[in-house]
Amino acid sequence: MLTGSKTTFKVRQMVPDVKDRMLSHSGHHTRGRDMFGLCCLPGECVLQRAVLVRKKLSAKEGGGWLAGTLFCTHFRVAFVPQDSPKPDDNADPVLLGDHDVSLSSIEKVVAVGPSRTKLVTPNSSLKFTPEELVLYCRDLRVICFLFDRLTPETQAVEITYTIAKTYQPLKPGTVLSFQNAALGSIEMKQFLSNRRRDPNMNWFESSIDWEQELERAGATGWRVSSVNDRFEMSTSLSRFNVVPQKVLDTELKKTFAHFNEGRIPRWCWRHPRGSDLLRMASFQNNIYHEKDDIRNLELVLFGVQQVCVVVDLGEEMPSPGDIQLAHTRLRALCLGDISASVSVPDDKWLSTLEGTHWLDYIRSCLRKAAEVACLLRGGHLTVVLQEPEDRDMNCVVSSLVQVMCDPHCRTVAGFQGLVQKEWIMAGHRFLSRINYHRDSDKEEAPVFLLFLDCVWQLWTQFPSRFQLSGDYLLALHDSLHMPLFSSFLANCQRERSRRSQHLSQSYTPVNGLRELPRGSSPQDPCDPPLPPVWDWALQYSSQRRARFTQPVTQPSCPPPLLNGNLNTNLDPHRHVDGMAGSVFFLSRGSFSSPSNLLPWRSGAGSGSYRKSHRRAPSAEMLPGLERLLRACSLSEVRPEPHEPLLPLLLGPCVKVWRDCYLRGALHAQAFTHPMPSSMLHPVEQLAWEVQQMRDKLAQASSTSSSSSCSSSSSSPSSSRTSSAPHGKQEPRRSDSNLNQNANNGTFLFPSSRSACYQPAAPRSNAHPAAPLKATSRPPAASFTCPQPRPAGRDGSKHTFLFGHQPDNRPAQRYIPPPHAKPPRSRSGSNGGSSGIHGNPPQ
Amino acid sequence: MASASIPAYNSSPLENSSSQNASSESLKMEPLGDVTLLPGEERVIDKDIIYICPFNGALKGKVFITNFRLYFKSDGDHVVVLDIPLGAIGRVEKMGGASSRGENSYGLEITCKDMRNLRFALKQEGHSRRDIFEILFRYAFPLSHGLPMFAFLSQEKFDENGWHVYKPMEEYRRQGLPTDKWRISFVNEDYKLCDTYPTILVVPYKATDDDLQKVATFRSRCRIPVLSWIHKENQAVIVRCSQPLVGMSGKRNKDDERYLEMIREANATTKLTIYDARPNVNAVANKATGGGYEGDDAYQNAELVFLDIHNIHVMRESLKKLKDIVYPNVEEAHWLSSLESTHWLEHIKLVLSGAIQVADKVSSGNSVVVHCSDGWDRTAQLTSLAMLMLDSHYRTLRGFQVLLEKEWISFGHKFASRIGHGDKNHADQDRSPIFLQLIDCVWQMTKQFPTAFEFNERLLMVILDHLYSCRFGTFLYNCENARDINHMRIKTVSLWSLVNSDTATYINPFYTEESSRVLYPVASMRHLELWVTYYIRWNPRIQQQSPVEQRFRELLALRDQYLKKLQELQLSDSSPSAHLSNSSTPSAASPTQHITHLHTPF
Repeated sequence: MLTGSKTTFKVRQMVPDVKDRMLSHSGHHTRGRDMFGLCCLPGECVLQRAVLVRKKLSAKEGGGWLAGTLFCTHFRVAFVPQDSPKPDDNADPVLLGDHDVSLSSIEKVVAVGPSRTKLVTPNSSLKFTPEELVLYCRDLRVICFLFDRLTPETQAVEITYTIAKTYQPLKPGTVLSFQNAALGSIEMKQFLSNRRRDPNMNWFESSIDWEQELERAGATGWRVSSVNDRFEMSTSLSRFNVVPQKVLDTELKKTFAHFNEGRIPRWCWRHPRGSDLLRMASFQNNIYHEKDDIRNLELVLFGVQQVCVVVDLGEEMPSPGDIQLAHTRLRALCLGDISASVSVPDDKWLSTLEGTHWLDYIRSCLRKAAEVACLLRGGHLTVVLQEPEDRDMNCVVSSLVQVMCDPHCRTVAGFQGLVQKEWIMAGHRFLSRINYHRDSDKEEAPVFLLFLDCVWQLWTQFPSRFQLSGDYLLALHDSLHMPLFSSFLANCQRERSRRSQHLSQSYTPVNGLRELPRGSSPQDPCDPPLPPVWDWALQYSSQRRARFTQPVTQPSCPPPLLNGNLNTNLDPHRHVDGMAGSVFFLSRGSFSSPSNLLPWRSGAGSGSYRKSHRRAPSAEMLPGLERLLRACSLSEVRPEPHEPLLPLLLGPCVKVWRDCYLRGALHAQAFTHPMPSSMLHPVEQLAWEVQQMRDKLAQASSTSSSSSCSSSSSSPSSSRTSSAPHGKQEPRRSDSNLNQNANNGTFLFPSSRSACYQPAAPRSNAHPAAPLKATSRPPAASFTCPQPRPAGRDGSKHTFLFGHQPDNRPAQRYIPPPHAKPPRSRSGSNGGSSGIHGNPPQ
Repeated sequence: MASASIPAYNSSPLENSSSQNASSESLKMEPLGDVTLLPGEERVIDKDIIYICPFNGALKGKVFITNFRLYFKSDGDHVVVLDIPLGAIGRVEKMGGASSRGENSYGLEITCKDMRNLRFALKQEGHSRRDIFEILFRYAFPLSHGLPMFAFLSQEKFDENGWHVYKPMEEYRRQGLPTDKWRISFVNEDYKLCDTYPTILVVPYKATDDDLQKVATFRSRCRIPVLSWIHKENQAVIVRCSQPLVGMSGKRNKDDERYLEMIREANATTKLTIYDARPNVNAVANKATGGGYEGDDAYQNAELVFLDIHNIHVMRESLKKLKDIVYPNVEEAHWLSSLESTHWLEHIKLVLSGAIQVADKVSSGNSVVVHCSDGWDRTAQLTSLAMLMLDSHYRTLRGFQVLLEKEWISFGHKFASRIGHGDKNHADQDRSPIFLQLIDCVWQMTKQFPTAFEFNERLLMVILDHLYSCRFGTFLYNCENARDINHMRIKTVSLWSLVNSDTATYINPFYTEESSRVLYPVASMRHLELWVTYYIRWNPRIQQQSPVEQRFRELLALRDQYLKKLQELQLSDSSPSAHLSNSSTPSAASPTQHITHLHTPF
């Protein structure tokens, strides 16, 4: 592999000029990016290389050591295993290989010598030849490389230096140069600008997107308002917001002033039982409430319901400062550090972990979300989340509620839509909170990471209810630490769209290499076009992406019935039957109806408005509401599909996300692991079989139902699982927009019409066994699949194993060969699939 | 929401095992319609009672007591059921007096050995609790009342006889013994050499039976160093024994020194490692009572390592603390620091890391000697865990039974004293959860190596349940000698009869057979977990099953369901499915495929 290199290998002194110190520079030929076996990005240059290096594999990767070559480019530290297949020059560029880490993720470089360890900084000099190189990463990975005796000493020294000098401790100015290093070449820019966005997910960018969501949720009485189209009403809100139909735009305009930052109550989601979830900022006090205003304010707040519960997230939830402090402590605790002599003794681990309060904050987020979910479950309520700024905890809780209640949000596409809706478009200040530019230290707080951890807790308690996997959450966690994605590089939609406007106006290709640190104003016209974080094919190999989903979800789950009408049937005694206009305040687990809750109702000065029927809410309602909450705390809720996933929150049930925080190679290094705990093939395998059978059944029932329609639905389980939807197949269900539901894969025994959604297809590429299927073509004759929308990169590939080449399927697939290193065997078996299943649309 | 389903926390694993083999004659107890009595089980009393459930409040219902179990079923829609083998009861106390005030203040309080307490309330009038208290006391503690334990009354029949699981000669032969360096000795055939050892011992070839007698005089309770396990390739051995009787004066014994030298020479180990499981100070303190440890000068070709594992009293207190924080209420806000303050996981960690050291030494070709004070508690933990790490045979369902039979039961772990079977002295200082600790360590290993063990968590649970239940003879008595005297193999049924007659229940579906590797778990607090599904299983707010396993079972059920449906489809309309069958060819294989068989029967 190494003999073919044409460049003479020389170790040079570090000089400021990047060009001078690089070993090789992937030139302007778009397709010739193989440098010493490393598949470079266009424009990427290899600065240094060390051969015969071994990488320590984490327990999850199977443990042990992996031999290969270590590279440092001006964008990443890459490691190419010895026997990895030759990179395909024609493949689309992938930012990170399976063993790579971007320079922006590195936090600390430590060299371990025969008798000492040293933190290597750009200015330090090594007085020993490192035997081991340890990279501490911002995403809590700890990567460890071992130099062999055969590694040329100069290489070991030089690559350590190079990494130490090139990695970019985030500071003002380095972000742009990093972006340019990764994406700045002409080829890369061209490549990115030709890239299509994933059509399977809702991006919530246009009003159509929002209308589609209204339809999906079955929310009537709401409309999409474009009154903020030019961000004149609220700079931090998105262009389009969902408000009650009854309120006209002209009336709506007057309400903005009454809320902090103009963040008026907006619709987020409707529970199948008809309750609506809204979010808003705190009320702007000291504002004169005109009579007309008040009518509109009430309309906006109550939406289409008579009773409204305001859930306060300001006080009892952790503040961004709390979260930041907790996360800092957690990082210090989990990363450990061999360069600093102080580390937490093992016998104090538990109490120190408790002392970080991270798990407490997770518990309080989950508890609050569970409370809200239980309220929504009661039906006929408007639940409004209120937080002073409406940009942190509201994001966490509103999206957690939806993950708990809406199976769609537990699919990859649905989850990404959710993050778009409740975080990116809603104006979570990603840029400030992540603090990429190191210019907002006071604002820094990993609120989104807290949310991801909460989702992981749900995932780990209810794995079978999720289509997305733990690997997916981990990948998202890691991507947050790369300042490359438009999703995270702005604080609101306004900032994001400004940036892209500038780009389109003056697009001058600039050679990324010359981009040495410069001022990094977001408006810089030279910025490379930044991809959204959801462009996973750009970031990770197809093997890695294949593990983002798990095949069968909710084995016994009927279709989600998001039509808003469920309540009439399933809720015989309505828990909450309040007087019209009642508004309650939920704080610290109890309800109240303080008179000053709504400023316009309380203030004597502006209290000119008081309709006769709007009396003070009766206290009789409180028990009803409290009963709803109790249902949540007593876990009375049965694990039925349309019921929310209510997490267990007792001490032992909220756990450390070990796969994320403790994955550093140093933790589990004492001995090698024969079998990594992540290789739970049997479950996955079984899931695949079930998936295939499900497909086959869908196929069989769709074909047989053409002759006898009732044959499929009369079978016991289908009548159980799908009685409700079949009973009242809403006319609008046939609407093309609804096929998002089909992604859930929850149409087990669909009627002939819905069968054509073919639930399995979108995630059919998710399994290691996929290559085998790749050879069999879809049974086109027996299964025609009119896809209402372009199905994207996966949809066109149906994977029917059955019948075609049954012999093709080696039975020993499930059992990893006893002595092979699992990761290798895995990637080996996936090699074939990557080309077929992993290609993004061209 | 109120449903008639029985909350999960009541379903003790014992119920699952209540055998289908039970003969129908035991169905005479009508009111217990939903519980099948075991053959040999007889009803003693039933009574209206109030169960004060810590999770659901006071529940009226009826209690039935048989000579084997206490069974409670509540009235009303929300049925709560308790089914507790009397053997699991550690203590029965009267609560309140005839004149006590307050609702439900008069009754019984039962402390169980399996991490729960039960409170029952009765009417205050007419000494209503006297009879039930006396009966409970009598039948829960038969030994203290001269009654036979239930294991001797049980008439259960199983397809397989679990007493045949462990045959010492077979096991030693499997290990490749005897060799030219190690011989099998029958010197203890009549338990004359050591009454707490088994009859068959493996000793150095060069050591004569006379030597063994001499060595026995220098080892506590005559528990001489004998071979537990030998490494097939490098011939390194694990030898177990008790402490040397060094005493205050620092006695030496030439025979013992020569004997250890023979062990060292057997595979030319340069330095024999002696692992003393105790903390250094405890070992020193033991000199006062005549014990001690191997001194440097006496044993020159040996190195002594202390493993810092605490004694039975420390472990007992630790478990007591653990019970306090998990039953009935689980601490929430300060859960982690409370857990830390019990030190339970820390003890687990020390045991595991001790075993790791043993296994590591042996796999690198070094013979080791392991002992503690008497060589039946910590020693058994260390040797059996090290063997579990080294030898994949012990990770199979049957191999694990052999391991327990060999290292624990035959080598005289004092089950009777540690558990207190049928004994009313709940405060007995000899009781200690040493075996529970072992099972916990095994569970930790199964967690870290989910594919390496053929058995699942359920086996571990069923072992612990019957450790207390007295339904089987397996864990009764302190040593082989006592078991022989009481004819256990004839008069009682072995737990392994139950297990091996229903192996499917105890098979880990994720098991991947692999023979050559040594398993080294990570013994760090960061990676050890509390065994929630055991210690907190009575709490209804705790997940009873690991989510992964749950998912697996759901999928299995779903697959069977789909299979059936596919077959139905094929049968029902064979003509329309003509083109179905050409696009897919599912052979009509049985949907009742075995769980271990993951391959879809297509």
